Amino acid sequence: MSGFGVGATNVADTFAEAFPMRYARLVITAATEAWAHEAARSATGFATSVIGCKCEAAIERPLGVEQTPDGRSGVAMLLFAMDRESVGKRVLDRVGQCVMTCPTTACFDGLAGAERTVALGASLRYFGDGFQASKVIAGERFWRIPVMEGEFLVCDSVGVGRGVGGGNLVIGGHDEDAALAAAQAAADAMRGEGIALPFPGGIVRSGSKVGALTSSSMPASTNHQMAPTLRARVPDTLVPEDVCALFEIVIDGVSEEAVREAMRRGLHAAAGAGATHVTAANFGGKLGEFHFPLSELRDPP
Amino acid sequence: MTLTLTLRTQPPGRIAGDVLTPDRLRGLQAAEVAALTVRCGRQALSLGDLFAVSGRGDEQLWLAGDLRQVDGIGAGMSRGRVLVEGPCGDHLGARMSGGEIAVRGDAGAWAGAEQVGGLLRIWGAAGARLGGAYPGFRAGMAGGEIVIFGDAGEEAGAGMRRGLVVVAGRTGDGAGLQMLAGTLIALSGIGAEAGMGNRRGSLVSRSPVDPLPGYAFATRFRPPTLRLQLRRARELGLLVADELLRGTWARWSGDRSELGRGELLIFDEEEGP
Repeated sequence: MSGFGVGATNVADTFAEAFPMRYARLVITAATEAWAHEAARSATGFATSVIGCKCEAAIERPLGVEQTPDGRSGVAMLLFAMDRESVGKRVLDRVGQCVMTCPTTACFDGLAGAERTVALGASLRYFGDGFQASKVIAGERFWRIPVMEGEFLVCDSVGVGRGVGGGNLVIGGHDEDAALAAAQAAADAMRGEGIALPFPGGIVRSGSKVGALTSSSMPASTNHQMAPTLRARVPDTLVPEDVCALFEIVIDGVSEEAVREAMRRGLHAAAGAGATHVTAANFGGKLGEFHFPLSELRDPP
Repeated sequence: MTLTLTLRTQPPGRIAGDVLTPDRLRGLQAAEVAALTVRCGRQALSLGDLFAVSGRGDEQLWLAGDLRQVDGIGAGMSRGRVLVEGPCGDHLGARMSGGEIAVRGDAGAWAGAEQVGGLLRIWGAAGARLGGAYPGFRAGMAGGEIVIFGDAGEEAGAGMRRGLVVVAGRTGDGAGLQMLAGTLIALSGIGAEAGMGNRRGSLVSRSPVDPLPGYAFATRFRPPTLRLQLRRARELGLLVADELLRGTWARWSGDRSELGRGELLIFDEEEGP
């Protein structure tokens, strides 16, 4: 395998391929940190892949009381979709079903000043059935929707920014335990401001390829070249000799730079945690606008 | 650069000082400002007769002295800052649409009347009809923010349509008279007969008040909107106790003799039935 080493880890000479996406950042607050997380977990559920879930979403970071508009504990979450309209639909669905329903929550725009916006409270207010009311505070409009507990406070609209979706690292180890430990270390290092890891725990075990060998109607199927159990059956296997398990981390970010730096943190954390092999998934560079060569991540963060 | 006007002599009567805005004085030299005339009853007086003028007209206007006879300071302004060191007269910042006025002293009646934008801060007391509607007009303040560090007079927020008024002290009687919408907060308490004819407005009182018969008790809760507004008041320089942010408030709905979609929020002291 051509590439370079980071400690004892072999890093393939390849690149991750990513795509332009649109994103929104929501700030969810609640009476307690636990309820804010509960709402954010619910709102970011079933949002692993834009292909199957229509959006990708994840908790970005917890927010202290000094970082939220209402001075309560909060959580920032990021939601990505392919265009602004899709972001608007998904945000409305998820806030309506998962945040408004959660005890004590309020929902704010985490992307103030964005050039483009989508309606949130401006649409959700109709749930108030004519009993809703609005207030403009410091130039920003909010909606008060009466609910059984009191009122749900939600911002009128949320900003939509241009982001990058589909950055990735594929991390291999001598065995499942070692590979998973390295992937977990990488995911922990990657999380932070401007980054969403939409899969469970940030980690994917079922990496996919575009289309399928056995069907023309399947949009995606298992990445057989990366499946260790198929190593002996697949002539073009990409599983290295000393690797028995691989995990992928998919990274959505608010900018190309945010994704690149998250990948850098992840690569070095994986190497430090015992990964034997790190590579990345791409489509030959023909589909994605953004390329992240692993060779550019050689220097530690 | 700041244009400075320091009162040299008390005017013989009330002055119509609505020329005293950054919009009107921008670009003028001190001599040109001194030559401007203001009405004092039937008389026309030059500003130079009343004030020592220095500097050049720009985005900031600084006024000093006992200006209780000077009405209309900052009235109709749309930009810049007006700083007043001392008490000033009526109609301060009336119908202003932008910019900021800061007064280190008391203000007369009609401060912020029919204001549509900008920020008005008074480090003293304000007279009657703060942010109110002028006679013959239905709507009072329609936007912007007013912060009073002292008390406010009668009928504060009368006819208010939008915006935020926060009074650190008490308001006089009749606050929120025929209020259309918007929010009036009295951090030390609201006067009697608050919210008569209120349609959609929010009146907030820290201390107990007897709601008018047109109001009905709804619930006790922690209003999330009020939390934001009180935090905004803090940003604007007021001391707001943590207990107000964390505590529960009694919500009374009214005035049912009107649309009845307004509210009176009273800091929870067992006001409910």
